[in-house]
Amino acid sequence: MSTHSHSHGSTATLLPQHTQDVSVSFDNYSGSEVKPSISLSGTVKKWARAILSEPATRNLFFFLLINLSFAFVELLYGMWTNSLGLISDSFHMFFDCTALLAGLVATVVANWAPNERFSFGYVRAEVIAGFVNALFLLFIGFFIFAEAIERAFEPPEVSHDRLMVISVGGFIVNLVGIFVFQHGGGGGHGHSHGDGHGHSHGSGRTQIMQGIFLHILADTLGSVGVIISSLLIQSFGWMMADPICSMFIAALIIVSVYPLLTESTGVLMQRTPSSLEHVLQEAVRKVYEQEGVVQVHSPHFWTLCSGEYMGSLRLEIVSNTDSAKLVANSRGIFKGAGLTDVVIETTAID
Amino acid sequence: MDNDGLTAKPFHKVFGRIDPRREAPFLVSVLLSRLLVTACLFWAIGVLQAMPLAVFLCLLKTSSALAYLVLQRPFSTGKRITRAMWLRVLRHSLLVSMTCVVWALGLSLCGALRTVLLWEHSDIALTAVVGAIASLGSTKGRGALLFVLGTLSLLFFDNDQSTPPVEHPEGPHRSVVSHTLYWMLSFLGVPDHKGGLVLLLVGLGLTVIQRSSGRRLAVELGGGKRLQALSTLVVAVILLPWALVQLSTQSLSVSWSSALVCLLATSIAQVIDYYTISIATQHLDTPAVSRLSSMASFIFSLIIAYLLWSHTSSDDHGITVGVVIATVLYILATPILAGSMPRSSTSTLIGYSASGLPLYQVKNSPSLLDLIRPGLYKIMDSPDSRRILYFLLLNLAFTFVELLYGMWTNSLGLISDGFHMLFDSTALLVGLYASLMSRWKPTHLFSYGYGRVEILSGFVNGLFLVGIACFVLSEALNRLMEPPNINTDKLLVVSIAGFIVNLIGIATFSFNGSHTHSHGGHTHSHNANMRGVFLHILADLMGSIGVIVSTLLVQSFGWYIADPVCSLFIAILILISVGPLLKQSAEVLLLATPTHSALHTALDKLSLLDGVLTFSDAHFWQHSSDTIAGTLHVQVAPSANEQKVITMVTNYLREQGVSNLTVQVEKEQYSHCNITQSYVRQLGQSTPPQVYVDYGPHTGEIKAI
Repeated sequence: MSTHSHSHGSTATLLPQHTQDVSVSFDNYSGSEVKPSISLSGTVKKWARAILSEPATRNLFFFLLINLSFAFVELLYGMWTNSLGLISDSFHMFFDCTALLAGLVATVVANWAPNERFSFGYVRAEVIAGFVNALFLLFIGFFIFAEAIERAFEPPEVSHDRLMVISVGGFIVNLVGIFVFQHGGGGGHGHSHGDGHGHSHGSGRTQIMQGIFLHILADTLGSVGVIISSLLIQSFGWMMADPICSMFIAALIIVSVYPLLTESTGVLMQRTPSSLEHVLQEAVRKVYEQEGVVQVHSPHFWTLCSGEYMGSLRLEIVSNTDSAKLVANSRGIFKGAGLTDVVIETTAID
Repeated sequence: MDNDGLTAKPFHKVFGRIDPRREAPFLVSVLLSRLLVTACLFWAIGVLQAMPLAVFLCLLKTSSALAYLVLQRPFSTGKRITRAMWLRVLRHSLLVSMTCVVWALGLSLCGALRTVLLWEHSDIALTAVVGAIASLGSTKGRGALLFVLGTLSLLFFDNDQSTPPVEHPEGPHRSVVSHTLYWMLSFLGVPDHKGGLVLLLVGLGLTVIQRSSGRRLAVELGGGKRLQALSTLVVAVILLPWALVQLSTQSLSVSWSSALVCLLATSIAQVIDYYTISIATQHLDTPAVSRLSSMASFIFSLIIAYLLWSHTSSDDHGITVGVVIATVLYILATPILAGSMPRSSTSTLIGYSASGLPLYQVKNSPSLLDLIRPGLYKIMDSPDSRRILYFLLLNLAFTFVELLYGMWTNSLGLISDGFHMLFDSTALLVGLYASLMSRWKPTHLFSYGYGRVEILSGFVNGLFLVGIACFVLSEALNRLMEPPNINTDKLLVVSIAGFIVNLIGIATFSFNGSHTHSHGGHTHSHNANMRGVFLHILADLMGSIGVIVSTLLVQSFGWYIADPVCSLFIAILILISVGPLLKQSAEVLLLATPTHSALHTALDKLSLLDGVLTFSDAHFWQHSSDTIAGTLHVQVAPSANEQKVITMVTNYLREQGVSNLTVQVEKEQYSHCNITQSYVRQLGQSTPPQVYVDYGPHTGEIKAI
């Protein structure tokens, strides 16, 4: 999988005389790469292979299974004992699972190969997933905050019916998730660097993983909050513990989500990659200082997905210089600065 | 002294410059006297409710007049008072007694805390409020705004009577005046303490008039203290007949001795307070003292009221959110309003003059209007943001009216709907901000400009709508199982009004859509932001229709199932209408090649251009609603003129709508060392594409194929 490169897109090898009929065949092919119209089992097999081939997605998948089974057991037990609290909590868990599922789908989608319509591939799905997850968490944080303020004014009668058991169970499940993802994220990181130039897919899906990690963290915090507040209420009768814990957790969620949100927004808005800001400035200066370069125009640098940075700029050069050599050198400088690909246009002036 | 002002801490800004050793005793005594007066007020209110109003006032004034006579000796000292002077004192005293009666009525109607909050504003602050409202946009405007907001929150957010008034609410209030007042208030349908607040506001205006008219008289009489002593005496005399009448017709429900003790204490506290403040004013500057005294009163009364309230929860004039908000707002407003002008303006040190004197640049902090104005111009610049702004204002006005009416009539349904509308307005606000931001100039960090924020905003709006639709869906399913008894109280009116407001919104926004993009049948405008806002309004509109239909069905046929069915239907409609927006904006965010321009076919013809052999790495993406950006590598023949090819390609693609293109021209000799790998799709094959090594399209081997 990792042999694929973006620097040469789909139309790379078309010869002039072949252009016409190849493009027709693309039209026939229209749609995405992994969208076979064969059988259901084939699709499942393909997805399963896509999921299980990467350690990160495999972890995600197994955690999703754990979560789902926990929710299912909770639902069944809740129906058995007719406890409304358990049933509603299990629905909450199912809702949580959708975030995991979305992350999983995004990871697989991001691995789809580029095609005519999506010349960069679907790698941005990762960033979008991170963005959506962050947005959701932010919303949940605000919701909890508003709820907590409401409760601070009139503390409701919290029913302790099995609350402790549920929250301890949820806490354990989420703790497992945190450990798994920290391990997975670290592994993915090392992997992406080992590959050298060929930016490997799947390994660098940090934005999705970050979003999911934050989600699990928020859930864990929620469980901790419930445990603490129900302990405080049970032992001291201190009813204010519930809203205060909720407020604290909401604030924590919002604060922890903020970096992910700003980062993914920046990527989606084609911001200059913040990690390369200074290096790129230096690189532009180096390019400018080359013999024959008069001016550097409209430098654009942006992030395609985590670890892949693109660039384009226009060089004004003295007309009798060797533009091809200059371009090759400049490309070298930018690649050295960390860009995956850069497109350089030259304008000769007298 | 000037340097002192520069390094002043916030505390000093609020209370003026304080030399601790000299001024602290005065400030502490002011604080103490304020505490005393406030505490006595809370005590006196019990007596006031058990005693005729005139008797209460008369006794209060008599005892303070006696104190003033002893302390001030207005007859034996100072110059002789002429008959004309006496007449003017009488006139002044009439005004004073009117304000006293209003004050006492307000006190009996809405309790000590609210009376203090409204009454204890210094006349400096009040005149500043009037001045700021008259000439909008001065520095004090913000203070005036806070003041008005505080008063409004006291008037509207302060529903302390959760229990409906009893048959004879005026039970403890005995005088004829309060009885008629009660009758009038209940006739108008206003809760009694709100009536009291209105009364107090009127009285506040009276005090300002009275104090400013008394100022000249005080100078002529030889001092404000003398005037105070004389007028208090005259007021007591004026009130005496009325008090006697009331005393003969009504009986007291409290023992004389305790009432007298309380009144005596109150009057002494008031006299002490008067002297403390006038002495403090002589030694410190007037604004500082008035600020301190007002703020001290507010804080002390809030504390005392809280203590009383927490101990005896039966008190019907308790603390509500509205009162707390009002107190905070008043406390914030007081230092701004009663601050002396030149000092409150921020001056910055520019440097030092040749003679070594510090130079300041005095600049008034910009008023609210100055802050808003440039943004407003920018909004008005483009039709999109203008439309959103108009609709936002309409929406906000509707929300405000709804909230106020809901609070006035204490209808929970209206209030919650109002907050829902307020939440809706945030979507509009986001849209407005995005539409404004998208026109920012490109910066060093956002080199393509901020146009993408519109797509992002459209995407977020779409996501939100999906979330809302899912929420409505789950709620509807819940209700389908057990239809609740919905309260249709005022629901129809609200939903019809909401329907009309949203219809106006739809009209303005769909006009936009058809205006700019009517070609070729697909009616969607490419501006994701506007589409998001439009869909939001559409969803609201459908919501209103659903409520109207279901309310009618419930009311006329008693079909309680109509409500969840309508909700279900609406949720599905919202989901369906949001789908395309989400899909398109997600595609744009995924950097898809735009489909609406004929880029694909144009690219195929690219190699027909003179000198172009092949092209590669064609990446085009919709950057914002009106720009397409792209990068392209073009392989040219060794003989071709690079500059000509670049110009040709750029112009050709610009015709196709690509406004930001970077073309990299490659000639053979440097490209063949650049070995790259690429996928080529095998026709009809769905398994992972075969990989083969591409040595560049320009090398001999490939050409030979």
